[in-house]
Amino acid sequence: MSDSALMADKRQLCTFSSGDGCYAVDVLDVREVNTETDVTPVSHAPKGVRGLVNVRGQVFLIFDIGLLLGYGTSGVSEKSRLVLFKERVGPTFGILVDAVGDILEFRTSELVTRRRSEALVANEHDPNAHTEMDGLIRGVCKFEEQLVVLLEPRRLLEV
Amino acid sequence: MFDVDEMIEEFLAEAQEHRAQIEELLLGMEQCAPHELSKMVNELFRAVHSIKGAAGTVELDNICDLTHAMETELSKVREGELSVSSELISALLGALDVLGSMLDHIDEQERIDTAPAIARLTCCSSGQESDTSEPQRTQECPEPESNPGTASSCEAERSGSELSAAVVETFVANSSSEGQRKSVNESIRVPVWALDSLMALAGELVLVRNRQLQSIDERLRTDRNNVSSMDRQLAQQLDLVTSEIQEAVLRTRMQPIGIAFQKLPRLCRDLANKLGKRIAYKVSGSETEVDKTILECLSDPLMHLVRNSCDHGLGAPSERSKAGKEPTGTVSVSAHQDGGQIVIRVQDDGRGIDPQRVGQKAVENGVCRPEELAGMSDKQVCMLIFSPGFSTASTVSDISGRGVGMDVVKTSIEKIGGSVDVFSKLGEGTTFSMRVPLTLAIVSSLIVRCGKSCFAIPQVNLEEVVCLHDEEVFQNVEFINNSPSYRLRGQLLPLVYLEDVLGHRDSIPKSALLERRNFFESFPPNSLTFAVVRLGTQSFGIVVDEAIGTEEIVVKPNHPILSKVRCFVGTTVLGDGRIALILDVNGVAQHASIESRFCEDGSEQETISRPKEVLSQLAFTLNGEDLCMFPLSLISRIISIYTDSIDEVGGIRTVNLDGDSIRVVDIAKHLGEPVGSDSGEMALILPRHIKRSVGFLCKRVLDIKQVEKMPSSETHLHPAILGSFVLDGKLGLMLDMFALARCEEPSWFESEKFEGDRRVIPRRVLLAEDTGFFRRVVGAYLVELGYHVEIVEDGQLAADKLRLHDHGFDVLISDLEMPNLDGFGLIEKLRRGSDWEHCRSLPAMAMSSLSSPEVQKKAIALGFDLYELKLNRESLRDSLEELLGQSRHRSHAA
Repeated sequence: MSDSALMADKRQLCTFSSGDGCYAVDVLDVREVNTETDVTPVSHAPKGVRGLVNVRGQVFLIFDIGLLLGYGTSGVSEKSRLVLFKERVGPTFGILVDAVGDILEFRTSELVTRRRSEALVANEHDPNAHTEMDGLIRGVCKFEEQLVVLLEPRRLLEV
Repeated sequence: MFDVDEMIEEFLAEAQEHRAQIEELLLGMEQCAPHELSKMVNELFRAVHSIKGAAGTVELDNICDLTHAMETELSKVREGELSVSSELISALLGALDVLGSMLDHIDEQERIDTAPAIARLTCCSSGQESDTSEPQRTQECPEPESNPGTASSCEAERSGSELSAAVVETFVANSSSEGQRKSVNESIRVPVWALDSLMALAGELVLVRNRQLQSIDERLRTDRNNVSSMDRQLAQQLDLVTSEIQEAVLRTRMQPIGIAFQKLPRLCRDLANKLGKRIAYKVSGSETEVDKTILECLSDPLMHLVRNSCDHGLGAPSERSKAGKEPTGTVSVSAHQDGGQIVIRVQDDGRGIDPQRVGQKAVENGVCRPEELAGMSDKQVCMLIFSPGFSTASTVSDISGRGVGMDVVKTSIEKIGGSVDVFSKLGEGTTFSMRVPLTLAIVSSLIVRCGKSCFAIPQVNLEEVVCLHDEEVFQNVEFINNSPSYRLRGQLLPLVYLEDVLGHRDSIPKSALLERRNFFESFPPNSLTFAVVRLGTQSFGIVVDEAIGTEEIVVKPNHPILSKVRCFVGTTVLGDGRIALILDVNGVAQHASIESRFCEDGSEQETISRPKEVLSQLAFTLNGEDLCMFPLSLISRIISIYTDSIDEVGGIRTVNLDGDSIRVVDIAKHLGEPVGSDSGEMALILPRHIKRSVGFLCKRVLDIKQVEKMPSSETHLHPAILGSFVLDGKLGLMLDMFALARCEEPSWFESEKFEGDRRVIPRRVLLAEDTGFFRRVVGAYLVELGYHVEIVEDGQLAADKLRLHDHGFDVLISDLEMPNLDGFGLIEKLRRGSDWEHCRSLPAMAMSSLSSPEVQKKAIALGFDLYELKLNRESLRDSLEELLGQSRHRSHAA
């Protein structure tokens, strides 16, 4: 494998926890991680929308990742964070997560895509959530002994 | 390096500017003074040439060819080979239109056929070259002042009068187009998103400032010495600069309103040609600045109004001459700022609007009813032209007259928070006046709280805020179909709980309304706050937890994910950093089905003004399909019980409820219906007015129905059935609670009979009641109680009977809503009328199906001794006893 191919293959992931699982998004999609957790709920909003939050004058739409993955509504604790995405991912939005973890580096070739990993991530809590959010999960990769589920934030906006 | 796409975009922006300039010049050429003509032709040439050149570089050949043809003609004019005729200008305008459509659909420009336009252009020059007799107005044409001989006298005259008008006319493009070019040089093109983000940042800065000011205040309060004068000064400066930045950023979004006026002169010209009228177009105030979004919404309404003025407003030259006016009609468009609003007027000096004709047409078109029309002022009649479906034109032309347009104008202006008005004087002209806000980006709003969240109600929708306290709440709020209404200055105002709207994703279910009502009636709130908002011509109230105050908010559009949420138009960040959603009054109204409630309330209002009664009935089912009903006013509450919790001792079934033993009356059993043997959940209806502890058992409680038609007076199989009728395709039975109770336990009512029998001389009752059903039921009941009853059908008949001195009645029972003379009028006569002096102390009881405390108060105030709800037997009996006992006293004393 050539150097440039290696470079292209290498990715950094921003990991976070939600419910019982460890998840990640591509770090290049992330605009910032914010400690603000005062989310204003929006009545009649589509399922999975937690509400709106004011981040320095800009209003972000926040998804409840726990709800979408079938864990139920995420509670808010001191460790809770907002992961906000860049404009190129979609218009001002982010997700509420239980805690953020490390930045991990991995090779895309190591990613086990969903089809093969279906058994691993199939959600026993709510099988409907699984089909509803088809495509939200890009795949699973292994770090030491932990499995990290890689998410595709762009899919959130397609609800 | 630019890529091709970027270059094309650049080209388009530039070409559009030139296109607008060309149109303006072409239209100006027709009317300008000859000495200005050459200058204008030069400018025209330059503009066309620029487009041609730029199109060449981006290889848009089709555009190149067309502009080349235009340029050729123009150069001929410049060389003096061709004169400026209206044919030439029309041909050039035609070519410009083709050019415009190519620019608008740049991807498909190759497919647009330019040949006819080019042919028309060349035809102009070839045709004219042979026709030398036509007077020439070319570049070489000497100025008429220096050499009047070459120009026809008519032309000289024209140029003279035109010159004086030049100050106000945009056609005289020299000054304005030069001004425009200057501004083009001094400005740069900035994409809108850049301005929007600048706007967001400015908003952010405002928040930072607010926090800074708060913290300084805080420190000043706690420890004065801790704050240096420097700190305070800095805070003040920050405050000032921030406000200025916000203002400046807002200004960047402002554009001269003239942009929306651009298409109008051309429209006037085309219409004048088409309609054979002579129309002068005048404009003023086109430099007035208005927000970009508003500007975009103004263009179509303006076109409609100008089209309307040209078509309907102005008459043909002959007609005008006859009326003693100049043959040339004038359409003038003006704009000016008035506070936070822009006022735009479209004025014509035509025929004016004839209210009589409008009224007649409105009736013909089905816009309003003749009786409605009769009560309208001329001004109101004029406003009818904005109604959907209205058209005065007797024939439909392709210009206007289809009856769409004016209502579209109104709705699109109202959509941006503006209003339209019309002033007209028959024979003198018509003025349409539109008021629109300066900007949509910042709106003044009422901030309200509902639960933990704040919401903003835009001031444009808001009429007033009402806050009721203590007994006001209970006295003034009425329930219609379980939906609360408030009587605001005589008008029924439907109320909607914001909490209910937000809490239910689709529409508000009936169960929620019922729950709300029950809660309201069992725990009357100490205070009730609602914002009265306008919805077209109607208003309704949005009940909130608290009205916090007004604030100038910066509107942020909804996130695309939320675009389907119809209750909110956008979001804003409040001064303290919290987020507030901006309510869409229309959306809220739709969600709460307010429109249908206006109709219901309308019918409810009719029942007050007209003698027609509505009874609220609780509908429930027994084991079968049939609906059964009890009057709602007689019910205290409904509980659900399980059949196995009913104890049965010696055929008497009771249930223990909060320590009380309640006798259970199985309605099905008494009506001879199959008795449900299966155990399970049933409903027990507890009556309000029966003194015994009794509950009526039914299978399931359905809903509350408004019954307008009283049941037919046929005889029924069972004494407990008051009547039957068909409701929603099902048979409904109106049941008599008291009869059912008597079926269950005849002994309860024995004392009643005894008292009845004891009376040696039966008391005479006059019953005034217009509804047959009630006459029958109440009459029968009174007879049962041992009274002698005489029944009349309205208040007038009752009054006539009582006018006789020896009428012999002991008591009057009167309905309130009746034809001819209602209960209020009747008692008024008895208590104060000169013919009824002998009736001053006649005991009188009002009986109504309305449980409104206001009606009750009014009835008592006018002189009724008592107020009873209909179909409440026990209470009626006791009240009658009481009344007659009193009167006995009274007569004894006398």
